[in-house]
Amino acid sequence: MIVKIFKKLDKWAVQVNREALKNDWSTIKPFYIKVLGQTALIEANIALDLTATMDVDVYANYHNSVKLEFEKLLSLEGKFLDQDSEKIWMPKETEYKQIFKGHLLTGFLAKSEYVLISKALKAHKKNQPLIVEYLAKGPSKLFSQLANKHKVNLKDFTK
Amino acid sequence: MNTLQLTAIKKLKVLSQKKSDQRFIKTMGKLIHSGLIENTKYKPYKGKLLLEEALWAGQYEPRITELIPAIILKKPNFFEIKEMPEDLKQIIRDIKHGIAKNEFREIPAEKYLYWITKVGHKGKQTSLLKTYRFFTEDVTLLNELRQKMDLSEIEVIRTALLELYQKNY
Repeated sequence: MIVKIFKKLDKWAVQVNREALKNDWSTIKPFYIKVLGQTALIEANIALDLTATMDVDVYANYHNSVKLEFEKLLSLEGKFLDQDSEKIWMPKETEYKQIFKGHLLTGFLAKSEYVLISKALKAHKKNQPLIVEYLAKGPSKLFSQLANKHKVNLKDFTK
Repeated sequence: MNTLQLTAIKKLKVLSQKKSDQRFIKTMGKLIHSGLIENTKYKPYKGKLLLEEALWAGQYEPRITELIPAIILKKPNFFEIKEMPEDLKQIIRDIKHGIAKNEFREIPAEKYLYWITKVGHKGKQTSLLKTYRFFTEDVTLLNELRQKMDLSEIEVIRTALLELYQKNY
């Protein structure tokens, strides 16, 4: 779903810039969108029973007109942009995988381990079933390292 | 396999049993059908759902519990309600009076309140009605911009407002 939206958004931004150049208006600068939260996990197709609400969390450096268009495109898919996305805590060292490269937009997904550690640390109760399933399936070395580094007591999830 | 993984496997087994209960399947299905939740495993369901079934399912997926107060307020026909539990009645009363502060079954107030403006207005933020009088040339400009930018009138106004705001602050 998200790549489809990125394609449309990039196309829209290119069209806006074409008009802007013709009329000597300011143009939209290249921008990025980094997808976080449940949406990032779903888009990454990880083998977990994932439940997500309609909100989409992102870090982005776009112009407000782009944000409005992004919101419009998300709403066509029954989703909406979480206005507090920027407040979401992600580890500083979070790695992002590029999933789209357009003319103006570069789209990324936060790597699953970083999303899961953010969830484990900041919303323990809400994400307990998800973390239990992840632990049962065998956590990656990276996840265990992140848990140690950020002092997440994984035993608490299995109590 | 370490102890942590073994304990997690045991816990997951119990959780999986709960999640294969009809109450859970129906709740997830109905929420998926209504576009309130996305899930990679369950199928949409459009039949009847008892409030008590959803409350039970919420014990194993807190995202369900988080949505319940908003659904009751914004989609009154979503659940079949035989009897509303006292704690939920109180939360609904508090929301209506704008004084909701207490947790609802371990869900903090800010989490369930977040959905009040979202459920029933899929993807839309709440808006306020404001009335202004425009000159003909303002309307001409607005129409021109609307067509060029392929936006609605309100989107043109919002974009212009944001541009002005950014320039001045």
